Amino acid sequence: MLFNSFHFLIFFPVVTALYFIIPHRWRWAWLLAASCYFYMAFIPVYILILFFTIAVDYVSGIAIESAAGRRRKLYLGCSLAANVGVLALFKYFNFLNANFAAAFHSMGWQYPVHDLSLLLPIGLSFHTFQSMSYTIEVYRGRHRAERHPGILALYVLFYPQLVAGPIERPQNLLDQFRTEHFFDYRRVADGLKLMAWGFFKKLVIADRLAAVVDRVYGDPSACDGIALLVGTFCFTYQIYCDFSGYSDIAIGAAQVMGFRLMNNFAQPYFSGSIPEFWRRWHISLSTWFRDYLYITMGGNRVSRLRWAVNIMVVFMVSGMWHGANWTFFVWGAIHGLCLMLTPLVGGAFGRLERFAGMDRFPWFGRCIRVAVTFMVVSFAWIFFRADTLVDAFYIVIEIARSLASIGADSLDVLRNSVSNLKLGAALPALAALPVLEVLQFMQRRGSVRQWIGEQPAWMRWSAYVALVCVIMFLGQFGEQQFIYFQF
Amino acid sequence: MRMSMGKDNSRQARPGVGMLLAKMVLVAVPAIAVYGFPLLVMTAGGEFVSYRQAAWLQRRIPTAVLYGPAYSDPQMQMKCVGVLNRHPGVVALGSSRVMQFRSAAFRPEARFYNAGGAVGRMSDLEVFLDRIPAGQEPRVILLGVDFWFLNGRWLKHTRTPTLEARVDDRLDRLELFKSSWRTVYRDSRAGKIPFGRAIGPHLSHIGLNAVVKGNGFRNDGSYCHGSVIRNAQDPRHEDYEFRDTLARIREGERRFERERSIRKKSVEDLDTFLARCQERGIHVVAFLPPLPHTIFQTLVESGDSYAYLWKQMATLEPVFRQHGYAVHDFMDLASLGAGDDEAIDGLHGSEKAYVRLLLRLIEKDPILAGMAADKSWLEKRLSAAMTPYAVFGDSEF
Repeated sequence: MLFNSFHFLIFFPVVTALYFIIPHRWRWAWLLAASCYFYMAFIPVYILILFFTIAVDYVSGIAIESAAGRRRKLYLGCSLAANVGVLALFKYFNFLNANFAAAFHSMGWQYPVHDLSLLLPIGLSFHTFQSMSYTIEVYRGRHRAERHPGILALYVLFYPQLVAGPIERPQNLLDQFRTEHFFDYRRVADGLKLMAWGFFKKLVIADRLAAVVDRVYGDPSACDGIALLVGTFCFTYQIYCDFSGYSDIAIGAAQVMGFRLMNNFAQPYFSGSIPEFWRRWHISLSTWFRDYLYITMGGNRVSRLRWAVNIMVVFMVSGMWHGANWTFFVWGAIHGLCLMLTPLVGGAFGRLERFAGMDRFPWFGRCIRVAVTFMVVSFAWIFFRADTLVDAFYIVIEIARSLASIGADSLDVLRNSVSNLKLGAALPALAALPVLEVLQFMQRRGSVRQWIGEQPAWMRWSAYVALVCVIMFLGQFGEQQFIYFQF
Repeated sequence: MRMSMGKDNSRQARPGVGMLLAKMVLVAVPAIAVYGFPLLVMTAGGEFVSYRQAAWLQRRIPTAVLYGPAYSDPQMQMKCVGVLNRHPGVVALGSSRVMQFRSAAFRPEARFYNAGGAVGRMSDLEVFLDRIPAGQEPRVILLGVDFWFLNGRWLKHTRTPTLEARVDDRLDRLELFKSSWRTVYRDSRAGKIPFGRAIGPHLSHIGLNAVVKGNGFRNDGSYCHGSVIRNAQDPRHEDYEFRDTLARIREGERRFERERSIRKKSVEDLDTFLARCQERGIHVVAFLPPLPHTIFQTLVESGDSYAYLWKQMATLEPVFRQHGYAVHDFMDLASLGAGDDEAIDGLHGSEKAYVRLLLRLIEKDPILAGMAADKSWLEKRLSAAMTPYAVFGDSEF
């Protein structure tokens, strides 16, 4: 079930209303049933995969807690193997198979293994990682094993964050299912406002930009460099608004019922460096990789060379987490490389600032940093979005060529390219971007929702009515899937 | 029924569920009000009546029911359902350029049904035939072969859906509303939907195209070109004196893509269809539908640009002959003894032109002649026609 569907419009109020009506001791069961229904709206039989991993994790968690020494590691290994195995089978088998087949064929050998015709279960990467964080935290002694199978199942299946995160930790989420939540007007209203903001980002901005992006990236060879640049810019905002919009809806929906999920985005495009970007983008995933892979590998408490290797491994794995395609691998590698080079580049930029006297105007330096980081991130998105590496490199080369040939007729060239892109449907989205960025900027200084809540009634109501009207009139209600669903 | 409000909440003057619901409704009221107008117009105009329901009404009700939705296009599905429900003896098959054939021009026992619009390309023919169960085949298929069916360049760029993709589509009312409500406002602002007419009583017209413009499918599947005919006489209309069609020819677009040779695959598809018809005992009478003489002449004068048009008969005749059928060239409206005034636009002849066409076919095909109305009666109706556009009344079906 998609958040942006008529089905969810009925599902959410019914589930929420009954949640508050049902006695507290049965609420976990109600939420679990609702979450199963939510997931089964996609491919019903795939719920069995989740039941399998939940069962393995339930047994493993208790076994880890009861065991000692190497047995604890063994049980952890079983849990991780089950989760990673399911992920590998559904998500990476055909990709690896195709690469092996290509390698064998290039050497003139026969390759007997056929691809599997398996549809990728929705949200597989997300709930798998959430499952793994449970057993890892039990292993590390940071959380007790959950004895109630229903509560553990709900931890994995909790519908607001089931298919696209935020990827939660047991310390944050598990115990909340035992807490009795009451209807609180302010909390519920705030949750609904957050959901509305999420729908605005998804339906008004992301889904409108999607048409331009799909047109450009669907056939890059039919577009000139300017069109490719515009398409890439649109994708930069499409993916942000799509994913952060989903997160807002998820966090808001959970908040309405009294659950607090972790924040997943913190105005990432205002980052002044790639490390800062990764502290603000998909925070639940980046902290997962930091805590369970990077730090396990030694983090930065190793030699410089080993640190560089750690960084590259983490980011390449992170890239592959997003999809079984070499484009994601390269995307991750670009970010890893940028992260490695940041101390060098940052230092050089700082010296340049001092040399030019710009250190007297720190805001100017900050603007430059933010602009450069934005361009680097957008460049990397080319690889994220392109269907193949060939397409990605073609797009990069064409954009570079167009930028290099900026001349007297550039305005005409720009006009022609833009008119060929047929940006009509995307205009409301493009017009909304400055509004988005202003609000994001304000959000850095404090909660915008709280600020609006402190304004006079006429101003508050105008804002809320305007938001609802913009969503209803400018929103694209074609039930476009969220981008991160495919991961 | 007690919600977990908490003991303290019920005692303090804090806003609760009721207040929240009231505020949500208030916030949504402007948006709901905006949806209200298009919802009313579309409901009252019959836009949410499905093609199945309309086809059922047209079959059951003895009076004329015109079905013309403005915001959906279910003609492919509707025509397939019409053929399945009626088991016609004679079927007119092709694009919109066969929709002018009326059941009044055939004997009642022929059970004529106009399935024009069911196919949009040559490959749709076999798909259409496959929908007809064994034993329910029509005796005669009156097949209009449009020139663009044989144009590979048109096929490459067209957005016309295939019959296979559309035939099992059902009306999704929510989807229809979501995709159309803005257009309702645009059309209302442009004066295309007079509000009073849209929501007024109109039992025999289903769909806003039928209600407002008098355009739509009759009970026999033929198309009533209400406003189209009025537009043909209106200098403000885009195809007045065929200026839009002539522009298409100049630009080489929208069915007038320039092409030198006939697409082989289309001919193969046609051959397969004819073979299947032969196997199933269906008699096929084919023709090249007419273009106004002005348009025809412009194409002739375009020289090599449309060379494939002049290869049609040489290519198609052997294919039809092989299966015991014939194809007739009526591409020039003038060859039917009709002037351009008997064209409703640059692509479509009028009902009167098609009665002329039918009379020519009757002369050449005895099987068809046995299914059509009496020749002298048709000729009498033709000469008695008061306008260049119509021969029969709307209630004749």
